[in-house]
Amino acid sequence: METDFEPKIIAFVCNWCTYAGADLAGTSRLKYAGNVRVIKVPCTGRIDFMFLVRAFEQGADAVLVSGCHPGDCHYNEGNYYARRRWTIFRKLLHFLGIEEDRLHFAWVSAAEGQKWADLVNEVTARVRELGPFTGYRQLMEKSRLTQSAEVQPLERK
Amino acid sequence: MIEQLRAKAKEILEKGDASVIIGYGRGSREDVATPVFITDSARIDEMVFNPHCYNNLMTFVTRDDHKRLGTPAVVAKECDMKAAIVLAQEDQVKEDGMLLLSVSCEEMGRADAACRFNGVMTIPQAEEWLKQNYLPAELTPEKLARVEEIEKMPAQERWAFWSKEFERCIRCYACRQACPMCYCRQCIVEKNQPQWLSTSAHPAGNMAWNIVRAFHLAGRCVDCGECERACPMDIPLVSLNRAIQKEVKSAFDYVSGYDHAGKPVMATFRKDDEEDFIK
Repeated sequence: METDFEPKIIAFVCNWCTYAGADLAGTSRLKYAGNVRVIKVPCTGRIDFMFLVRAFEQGADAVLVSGCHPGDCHYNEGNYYARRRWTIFRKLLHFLGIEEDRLHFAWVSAAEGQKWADLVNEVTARVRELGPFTGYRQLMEKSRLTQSAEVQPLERK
Repeated sequence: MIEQLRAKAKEILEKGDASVIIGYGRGSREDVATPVFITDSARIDEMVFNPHCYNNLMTFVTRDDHKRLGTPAVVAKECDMKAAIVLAQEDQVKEDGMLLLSVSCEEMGRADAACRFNGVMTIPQAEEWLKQNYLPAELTPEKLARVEEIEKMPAQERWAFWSKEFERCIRCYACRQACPMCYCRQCIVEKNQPQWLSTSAHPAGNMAWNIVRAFHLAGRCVDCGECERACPMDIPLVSLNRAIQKEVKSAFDYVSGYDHAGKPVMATFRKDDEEDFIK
């Protein structure tokens, strides 16, 4: 195992609960692993599974999805739809051979700054154990896409 | 059997219950059949049905150029009937917008297999018929054998297996074209503002495409197997579809194609859905 491996974790979090929770972790000066890159979306229901595929294409070692607890959704039921989607999607990725620990799901409310910090620490530790996600990287290298324009971040022209 | 089918089709056309018969006609060889679209009852003898009539004819029902022909009566095997039910469920056809000429074949592909005509059905009638006659044949251990074989491999081996399979993909999209559930006028792979999927046939783009194809069918696939049969590179797409069907069945106790009036399983939820994977 590489010793200097720093996992790159992409977190998709909802605007109303987990983002606020992560913010609370920050304003409370909680210290936690700096391996997570946060992407704010309106609701977990807004997260197309292609976001996750894209994250892996661009070199993520793991993806974390987090939103409001059931019953707390700002849009009443977005997280319920998301939950169904992830129930199946994680199994599909697992069937394709992506380790289960590369996909994490959580409910973190606006009041749970500590839970967010612990969660990021836990996910980072698990992925550190797992090592870098070479599977997708190899695909990208084989496709000669690692440096090409084709996988640059999405931008509307 | 074929005489019964032709007589019924002719009657439907002449009575005006449907304005086009979508069925099978003689193919270029003995072991293939080709779709025929019959609007004139004088041509009814072009219809055939035999163990080589594989195509899922529901693919045509949602296409604009065939919609123009008016209300169809479609020759449908079990999975084609399920496809019609899912199309009605997803508002692609009206519940009474099509008739089904229900047929069965003892074993597709075996030249001497016996074929049956089960009668003319509406979509709700087809649903009842399927529940009685076909539901027990869904996701049987034999159908899931290959899925379970793949599941038994360690994760890295599975990844290597699928990477290798998808590497052969030439992105011809035959899987999509043959699929009755792929009715989007513009497929995500053809959208380029923004471009979600790389369209070149390279390993990374192929992986993304195959994830998209499989997951867009989650809870919708009727297991007709046309994608795999259409695939010129023999990628085991049915195993991928069935792996998802298996999960949908175990998580939501749902098999697609048996509920034309209900909501599609991925477009609804229950408050008490399982969530043991969520921290």
